[in-house]
Amino acid sequence: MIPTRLFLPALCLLLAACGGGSSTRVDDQNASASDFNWNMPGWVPLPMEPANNRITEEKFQLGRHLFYDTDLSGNGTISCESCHQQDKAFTDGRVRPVGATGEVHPRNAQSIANAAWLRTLTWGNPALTEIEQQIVVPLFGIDPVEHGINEANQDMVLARLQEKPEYQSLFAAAYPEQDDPLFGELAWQNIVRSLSSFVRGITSFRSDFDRYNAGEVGALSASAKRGMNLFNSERLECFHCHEGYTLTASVRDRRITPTVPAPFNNTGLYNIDGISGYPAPNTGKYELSGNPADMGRFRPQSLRNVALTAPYNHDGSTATLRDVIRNYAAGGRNITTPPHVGDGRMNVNKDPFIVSFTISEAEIDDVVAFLESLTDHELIDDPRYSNPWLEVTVQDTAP
Amino acid sequence: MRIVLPALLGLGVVLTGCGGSSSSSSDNGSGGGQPGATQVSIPFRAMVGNEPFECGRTYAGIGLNGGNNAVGNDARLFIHNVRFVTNDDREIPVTLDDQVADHQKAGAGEEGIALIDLRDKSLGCTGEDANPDYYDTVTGRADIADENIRALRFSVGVPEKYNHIDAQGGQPQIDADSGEPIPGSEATGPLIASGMGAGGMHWSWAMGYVHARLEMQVPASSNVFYIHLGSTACEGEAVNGERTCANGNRPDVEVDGFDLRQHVVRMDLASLLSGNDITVNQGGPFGCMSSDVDLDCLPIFERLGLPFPGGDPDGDFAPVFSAVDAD
Repeated sequence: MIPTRLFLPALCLLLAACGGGSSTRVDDQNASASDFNWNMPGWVPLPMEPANNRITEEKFQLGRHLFYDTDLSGNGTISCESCHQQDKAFTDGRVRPVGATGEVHPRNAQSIANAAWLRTLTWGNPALTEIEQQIVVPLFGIDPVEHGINEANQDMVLARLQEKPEYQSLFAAAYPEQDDPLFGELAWQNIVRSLSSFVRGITSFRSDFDRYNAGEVGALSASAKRGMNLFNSERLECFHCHEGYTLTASVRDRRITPTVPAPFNNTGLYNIDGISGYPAPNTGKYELSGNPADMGRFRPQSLRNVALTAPYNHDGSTATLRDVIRNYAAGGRNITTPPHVGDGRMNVNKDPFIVSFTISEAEIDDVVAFLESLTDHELIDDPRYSNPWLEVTVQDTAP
Repeated sequence: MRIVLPALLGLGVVLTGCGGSSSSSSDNGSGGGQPGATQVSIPFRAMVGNEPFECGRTYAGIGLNGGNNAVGNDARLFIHNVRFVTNDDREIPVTLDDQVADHQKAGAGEEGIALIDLRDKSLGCTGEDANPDYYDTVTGRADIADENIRALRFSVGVPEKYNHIDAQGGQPQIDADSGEPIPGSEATGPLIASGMGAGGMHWSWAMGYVHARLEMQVPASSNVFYIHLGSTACEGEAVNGERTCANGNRPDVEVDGFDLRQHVVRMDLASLLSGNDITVNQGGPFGCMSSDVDLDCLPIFERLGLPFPGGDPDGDFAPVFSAVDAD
């Protein structure tokens, strides 16, 4: 067996997570070396990659085609893009998304930009730590049905892809070591790994906030600067869970191997029947662990591009950023009308940083201005992440 | 951190001892690990009451409240730790062959794992009129030539040691302390075959295998009544081989009176569903996907002898698994 290392030695002591701008790095034994175009500033530490799926441009481009291909669903009606749309920072704008067969997903579609840095990949599941593991859930899952690919139709789905001339060269380029990567027995594995490579390669570090951190002091408005100070204040306490260069405590990169458990927090959104319940099946980490203390604990979201990803929270139950801030200001959400009556402020699992605070409307404006400064306006129409099938159409119709 | 090297070395000895034999019965091993071991073949049959399970076939009178029509939809299960029980209550392990690579992982105890696929070859379960994965007979060797056997025992499911490995294959688990791959943690045989593509026997959301997948379609509601057994209440990093589950949900089955010479193991879906109204969903997904707050699981877990909040794992129910004459 060939020894492989998933976790590289943590030799880099550069911890200027939000510092930006510095081009001085200590020797990190090539952890920062990569031939791949990560499309991001040099200060951002490279994300983890599994040893058996090193990212390449060819896998990324194959994955990009698959991501936007509705033939990669049981009935040919949805693609990954259906719920992860570039103009919404790869979310869908809906409270809850709908799968290929019409089944409504219990949770809100979340952005996949910068997914490569997340310690866990979904709202409340601590088990899914690798993108390769997560991708098979929407493709093949039955509860809920998303892409609706199953044992009965998977050969047909694959045949649809095999018929496309584009994939002949894309698969061959991505997997040159395989004799027949599109028709061979590894075809599905290749699909999963290419999709993972595309998702891993979608990066977003080009916001006004990043320019400000890089020394461009005028990049943030006066209001956004006031909002940033509020965000980082001991009054609002936002920064404890939304910290560092990814704006979430759920972060890992090639410099360090986290030793503490991946973070999941209860923010006091529900307290059904006064026994701290969350509405099933959205019970958060509890769904997997069965530990009552995990009821209602969800992963802290990255706040990058958050202004583009409404509605909010795991079930899309909060419409606007102002409402999110008001929930936190109240120290939780008190629901007085059915079906989920209960005072979330009194939830026993609530994170100790969710304390009530007084905030004026003007201050809410400032915090929202700061959150809007986290938007990467280049992301949403970056041709590197756009639908490649549309490019083909344009070329075909050109004179 | 688990170190599995000794177990693997033991497996190698066994393989050297009995690999490749194609005889159906022999009193002498061909040397090596298990002198005197007898080749055994243990057939399984899915039944619905007294009728054979067939994909797409309609069965009447299934479940509570007078019973309802139900159509065969799936019948697969992993088993491991296969052993015989003697009249004086000693257990004799069956060392599974590896002759069918996609269906058996060779070895005894938790090393010997078989994927039994009882979706018959009629139209229905797989969307085609043939199921190339059909597999109904577990083969191996056991030192039973001079023993009086009173029962067969086996555990349903994938043992915890292998339950959280990378089912898509290729990626071993990595020891968090040393950074080195954990030996034996790459998926092989039935553990990889069920993970590639839509294999149907991997619970990707929970990072574990589906121990058993038993399904009846209910024409009255056009739903499928799912019975998907999987381990729940789990903690720890799967990629580091550290994931453990408080609820293993692996029934340990005793098939009383089982006689290799005349019996098959009958798995009766009618008995399994006898405590459910299959037209009603009491919570969660339709049927039972092992959640301990899904009340549809309660009678099913009782009949499998599994603990469930408010259930009686020692209740007196018609057995789901029993010994019946081969034909």
